[in-house]
Amino acid sequence: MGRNLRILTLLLPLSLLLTLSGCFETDNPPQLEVSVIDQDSLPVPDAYVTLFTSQQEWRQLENPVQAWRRTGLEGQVLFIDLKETTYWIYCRKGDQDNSFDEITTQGDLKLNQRAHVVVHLR
Amino acid sequence: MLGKGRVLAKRGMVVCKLSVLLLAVMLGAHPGISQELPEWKMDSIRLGVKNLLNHYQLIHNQINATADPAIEREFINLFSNPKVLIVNEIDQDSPSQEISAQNYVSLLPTLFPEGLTLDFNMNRILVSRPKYDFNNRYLVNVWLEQSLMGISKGKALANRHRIVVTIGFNFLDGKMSGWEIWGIALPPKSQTYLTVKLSPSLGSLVNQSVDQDERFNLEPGLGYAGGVGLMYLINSHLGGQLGIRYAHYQSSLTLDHLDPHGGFDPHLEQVNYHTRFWFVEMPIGAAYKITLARRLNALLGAGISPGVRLFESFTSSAVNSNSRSRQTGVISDSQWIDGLTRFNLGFYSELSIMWQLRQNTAFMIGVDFHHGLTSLGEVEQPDYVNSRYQGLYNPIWRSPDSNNLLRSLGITIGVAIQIESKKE
Repeated sequence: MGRNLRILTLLLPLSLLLTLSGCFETDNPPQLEVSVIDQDSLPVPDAYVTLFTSQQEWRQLENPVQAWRRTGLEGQVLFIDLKETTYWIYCRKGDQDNSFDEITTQGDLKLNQRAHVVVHLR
Repeated sequence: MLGKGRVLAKRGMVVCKLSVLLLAVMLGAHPGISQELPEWKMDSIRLGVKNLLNHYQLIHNQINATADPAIEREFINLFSNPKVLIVNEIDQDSPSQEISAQNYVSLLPTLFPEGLTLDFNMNRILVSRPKYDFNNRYLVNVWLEQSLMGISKGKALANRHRIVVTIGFNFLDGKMSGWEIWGIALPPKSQTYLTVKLSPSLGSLVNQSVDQDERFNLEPGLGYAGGVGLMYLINSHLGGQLGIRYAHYQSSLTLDHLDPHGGFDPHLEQVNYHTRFWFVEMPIGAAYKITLARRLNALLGAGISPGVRLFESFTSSAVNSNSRSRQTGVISDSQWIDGLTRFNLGFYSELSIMWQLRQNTAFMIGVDFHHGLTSLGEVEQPDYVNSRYQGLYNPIWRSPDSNNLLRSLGITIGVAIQIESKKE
């Protein structure tokens, strides 16, 4: 049994190392929560929201960084897995949007940060 | 055109069929199943067995320090060869439970100069049905009670217990002949094994609605599992097993492109959803061991495998059709895990070959198949059908009326250590 126990003591930590590898992350990518409200400051559900990394792309509605997200009942949507950069935000519901209001994050987003932005539709 | 998901499902079926075929081949190689057996007259077999055992008893009781060497040769001739193993009840100093017939007959006069009296109880004898061995030879197992009495080194030996004698005979043209002893052993009562297994595997997270959707391609990912278990055999074949294992599953789902919606085109194509799970699972089921050769066994196992999810991760990427660069994190789904159950019940089956390295240690290699029985979760999304191609919902999980199932096929490598063996 002595040799068997030695085999066991070798195999068990090895399997543990293999299985636990890749389970842990150190930093979380930045997140951005967008609240969409109307002219009466009421939350707008089912509004389409997306993000751009430059003013030009925001104006042309080209190359969004992620797929469109839609706001929930409380008029909010959360973007995760973002980069440490500045984002331009575009929202639309029906014929209302924020194309006249250039809305960006306050500077570059940071790791482990959840920024919050409010957008008015008109 | 078939979706990859459907192709993979078909592959899964092919793998299942191959496993069954492999099992059939192995069973076919097992003596006793490969040959159509004749109609046996068990009374005739019993008579042949009793004649051989009576002869064995007679010769055995003539062996002593002053016996004619011809008696020893006649004793050896009762066996199929001099190396046949029999129960070691004469050499108490030896750690070995079995010795060869050759050693037995040479040790017996030394240890028991006045002889060792053997008495078989022929009134209670149990004979198995013959199993085909090779070249018209058949083997039967005979269970009976024996008693031994003798004096060795001034100490009396007197014991009585059951033994199992393996006897071979030739059967040709309806006649039985050539009765020989192929082994004498204590009948195994139970065996307990500690098993340690590592299993690299191909796994997938199957969603039934995605599986049938041609626009989605499901790609299995390389996972692994490792764990320890206990296997308890109530006799030399049948038993149960219980274990704990740490398993990692991953797979990818790809979509050609996200559709424009709401007046916007996301310009994202070759979308890839990659999901990973880490589970602790507790497989519990039945085990069946088949002896293929002297040091080679096959082990079949099947049962249920409840599991608890410990960790999970979800990543996404897509190619921007304007810049042609691949972007990561294109699907923002912070609640993707909320709809999934932490508990998962699955079915497993395994087929392993056990190669006996030492008396108590065997090397194992085989295949194992795990399939989810319960859904990992489902979320009612009334507009899922319209929105899934737009990236608004994670198509792996956010589908109504369909199950998300784990499935994996792995290669198992491990060791089985016999930690206990009880004999009658």
